[in-house]
This record gives sequence, structure tokens and C-alpha cells, in this order.
Amino acid sequence: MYSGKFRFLIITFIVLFSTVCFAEDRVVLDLKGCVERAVKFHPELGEYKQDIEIYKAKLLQAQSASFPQIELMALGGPSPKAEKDAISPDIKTDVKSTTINGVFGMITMQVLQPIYTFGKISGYRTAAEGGIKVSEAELEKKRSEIILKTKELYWSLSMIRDLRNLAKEIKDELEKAIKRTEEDLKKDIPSADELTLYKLKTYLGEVKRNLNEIDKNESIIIEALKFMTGVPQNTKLEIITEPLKYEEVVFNPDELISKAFQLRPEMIQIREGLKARQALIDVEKSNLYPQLFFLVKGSLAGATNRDRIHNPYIYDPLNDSMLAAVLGMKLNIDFGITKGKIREAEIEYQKVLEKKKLAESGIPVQIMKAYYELLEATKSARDMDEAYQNAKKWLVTADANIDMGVGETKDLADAVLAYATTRVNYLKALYNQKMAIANLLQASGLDREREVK
Amino acid sequence: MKKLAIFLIITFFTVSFAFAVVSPKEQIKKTVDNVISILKDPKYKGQKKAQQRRAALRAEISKVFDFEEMAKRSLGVYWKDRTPQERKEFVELYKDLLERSYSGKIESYTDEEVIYTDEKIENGKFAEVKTKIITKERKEIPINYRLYFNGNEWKVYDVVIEGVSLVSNYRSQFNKIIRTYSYQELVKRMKTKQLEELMREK
Repeated sequence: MYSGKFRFLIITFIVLFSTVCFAEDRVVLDLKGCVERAVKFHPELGEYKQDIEIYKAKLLQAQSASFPQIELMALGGPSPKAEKDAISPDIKTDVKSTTINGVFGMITMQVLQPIYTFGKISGYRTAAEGGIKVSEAELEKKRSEIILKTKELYWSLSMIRDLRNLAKEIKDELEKAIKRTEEDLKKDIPSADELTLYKLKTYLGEVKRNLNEIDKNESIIIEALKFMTGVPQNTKLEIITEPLKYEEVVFNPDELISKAFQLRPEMIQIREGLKARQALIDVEKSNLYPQLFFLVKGSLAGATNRDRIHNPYIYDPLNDSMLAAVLGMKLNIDFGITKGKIREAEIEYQKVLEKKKLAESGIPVQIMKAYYELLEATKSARDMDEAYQNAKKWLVTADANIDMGVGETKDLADAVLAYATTRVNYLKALYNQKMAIANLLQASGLDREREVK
Repeated sequence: MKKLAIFLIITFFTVSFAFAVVSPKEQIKKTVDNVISILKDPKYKGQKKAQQRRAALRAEISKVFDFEEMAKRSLGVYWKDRTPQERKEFVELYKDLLERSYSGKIESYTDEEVIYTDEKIENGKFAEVKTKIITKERKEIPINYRLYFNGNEWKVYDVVIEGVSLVSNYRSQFNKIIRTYSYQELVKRMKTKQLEELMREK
């Protein structure tokens, strides 16, 4: 019915159409995917990206300052009548307005080429280049915060899902125990009593409440991740979480400190900020010296009702032409304003130096704090793992003893409680360890290098 | 020298025979596979078939578990003080309760995956088969089987769940009850439990 080519076109169209229609219906992300999307699409990044564009525009201005600046102006308007007779033999200057009976046109042009500015142009260029790098570092700083926040949400989601598994496990066991107790009561089994049944049902209610809270928190986190990753509201976001697991990590704090001085956006901002501030000092200092330039100036004017007079002593602005090329110099002399501006620029430079001092002493403290927090979190995770393993053993033992008729129901209840409590605390400890790693990576500036690049 | 050679030949053939029959891992795998096929068998499905299902499971378990050995090890030092009648009664009670417990637990594991992680054989006489049950939530439950070779086949004499040896646990619990009360009290408690289980079955 259709030719091969036509069929191919139809299939291509269908495939493309379906891709367009369903591309954003569902987004599936893991931790890497979340981080990658967040650093690319987080709504807050737009403002920081525009700051970079501002400095790029400033750089363009600075780069263009070394090229000639051309000024062109064209004028046109009514022209009062003026004839050669009026100045010969007697000079008559009072041309009346009633004699306006023509029009004039005029074009003026000026080309100014800076020759030497004593560092003003290069200063502005360096400052703009520094400004770009400072803004880029500011963007990276924001990205670093976003990575940390994304990880926080991701690991919270992972913990919540693990907690749901635990709650479901306990719920299933409670439901089984309730069913068994109800059957035991019907069959008048001696060990069964109403009190146990009510206890079990009370615990079940509490577990169900926890499950409802887990559902709510999961939905909130997914919405927050949607915002973080720039996923549209009407798109379904599925997050693949990996279960929380103990991570064996070894960091050398000295290495992290030296890495931080190279990689932290704040340090990049300080380095580039110092260059830019120094350049701005140079710009202000250049105002103490004359600005040398080459100037070409010309004008061409013509009026319909005026005679052209070729007399160098007589100049008619509405009907004349002129072209001149000159070397020029411009110097603004003031009594303190320029010096004040230089001082102001120097103080701004000093401010950045003070920031540098603060960062150099503050960053190691921040890293050591994050490092000790990681050590504590790792130890706690290990200890809680041991406690959880023992709680499982306690539960197995109590359960086995009940099955053999040599155990107490109370022991089993205590074991279940200890199992649930230690499992929750173990999950919290694992979450804390994950976040401690994330904090340390952020403090050392390794987060973007590790997670994004 | 001659004696040593004979000893080595005997040992070699004993060990070879032990390996030649069925390895401990294969023995456990065979039982686990049979148990799973019982659980999946439509003729044992449903609440009405519970008793038949349990009977089938218990029969399968009995093939590999040496309950007498387990009971003996669980009673520990108090085993030798028991009369043959008491021993018989205790083994039957122990076997009945453990079978019920084990088959009851197995029934709740249906779609889980069982993986065999390791097998260790010592002197051709004792072995440990390490397994893991992987739940739907990817949770791992380690269950290790300790076996001995009785001359013909490998038999389970202990089960280690999450690092807890059932035999060791029962030994300490039984000892505690015997020390605090008496052997009769232990049997009384086990009989009460058995009675309750029988009442549940009705």
C-alpha cells in the first residue's frame, strides 16, 4: 500500500512524536542522577549564572576599550538664507528668521583611538576576568550546597524506605501473632489471654501510625527532590535508593586541607578576587596620569539656501566641511578625589586579604570538625551494627525458646522491642555516616570533583 | 610402616566414600529444593491442606536432621543421667517441637531466594554449609547447617541462624531450667508446649 520510503517516514514520525509526548512523563534517578540533575537544573542556579553573564559583558566592554571609538552624528533642520552678497563689500550678520527658506544637513564624525592609558584598559580587563571567575566560583559554591542538600534528601529517603521495611516486617509479625492469639483464644489454649491480644493490637496501631508517617515523609522528600532536580510538577519522579550500608572510608585530614586550599570555591574566589581588586587599584592609579589618544575629527554640512564660502576666516557651520587628525591627551586634575578612590580600592583589596586569612585559618577547623564527626559517625555505625547483630541474635534465641516451650513471652516482646529500637538507631547511625562523608567532601571541596565530574 | 599404610588407605577410602556419596552442600540443597517444591505444590496449597503440608515438610526435614543427636547435644551433661526411657521421651518431644518450629518457619518463606555461600569439611567427618535467605526486601538471613557423616550420609546436628547455634542456645536454656528447677520441670514445659501445638492443629 505504501512505498518503503513513505512507511519509513511514518514510523520515524510516530517514534519522534511519542518521544516528545512521553519524554517527561516519568523520570527515574539514582543518587548520581539526582546530583547531576540538581547541579544542572536547580532553579536557584539561574541567578548565579546571570552574574557570570554580567561579568562576561563587563569583559567585553573592557576588551573593546582598546579599539577605536567612533562617534557619528547627523543633523538636519531649517536653514536661514545666507548669500555671498551679504558679506561683500560690507559684512552683514543679522540674518532675520523671516529669511528661513531652506534646509540644511550635517554629519559629524569623531574617531578616538586610545594609545596609552597607563593600565586603565588592561586593569578593567583583568578585573572583569577575575569577576567572571569569582562568579563562577560562587556558582560552584551554590552547587556544592545543592549537592549536600540533594544527598541529605536522598539518604533520608533511603532511610525512610528502610524504616518502612522494618515497620512492615513488624506489622506482618504482629498481624500473624494477633491471628494466632485470636485462634488460640477460640481454642482455649492455656497460654493465650486477652491481655496479650490487646497489647498486640495496641502495638499494631502504633506501627500503622508510623507507616502513615513514613508515607507522608516519603512523598514530601520526593517533592523536594523534584524541586532540587528541576523535574516538572506534572512529571512522575522515581528515585532508586540503595539500602543504607556501613561504608569503610579512610581520609587523611592533612591531604583534605591541602586539597581544600586548591579546590574550595571560597579559595578560588579569594585568589581571583585579589587579582581583580589589584587590577582595580591599578585602574584608579592610572587616573593620576594622562590618557593619550589619537583623534580623527571631521564634519560635512550643506544647506539648500546658502552659498559655500572658501575663506578660511569665515566658517559657516551649516554649510562647511572639515577633517582633522590629531594626537591628544586628557588629564583630570583634582585635589584628593582620585587619591581617595585609590585608597578605597586598596581597602577593598585589604578586605579580600582579611577573608583570605579567615579562610586559611577557618577551613582547617571546618575540615577537622567534619573529620571528627565522620570518625564518631563511623564508630557509632560500627557499634550500632554490633548492637543490631546482637538484637537479632536475642530475637532468634527468644523465638527458638518459645518454640521449644522453654521461653517467656516477655523475653520475646523485649527482644522484638530491642530489635526494632537498635534497627532504627542503626539506620540513623548509617544515615549520619553518609551525611558525615558528604559534609567532609564538601568541606574539602572534593564533592563536585567526585560527584559531578 | 605397614600399619600407617593401612591407616592411610582406610582413611582415604572413608573420606573418598564420604565425598562420593553426596556432598553436605548437595545434601542440604536437595532437602531445601524438596521443601520448596512441597511449598509450591498445588496439592499442598491452602489452609485446608495445612496439616498435610506440614506432615510432608516434617517428613522431608526428618530425612536430613538427626534429632536424636541434636537432643543429646542440647541436653549436654544431663544426657548421661537420663534413663533410656527418659532419653526416648525427650528425643521424641524435642523432635516434635523442633520439626513444628522449623516447618512453621519454612512455610512463611515462599518466594525468597536461597543461596549457598560456602561449604567446609573437616576430616571428612564434620561439615558446615553456609546459606543465605534473600528476602524480597533484599534482606539477608544467614542460616548455616552443621553436619556430621554417619558412615552413610550427612546428617544435620545443629542449625546456626543469624549466628545463633540452636543447640548451644537450647543447651544453656535447658541447663538453666534443670539447675533452677528440675529435669521434670523442663519436660513439663516442653509437654505443655506440645499440647498447645496439638490443640492448635485441631
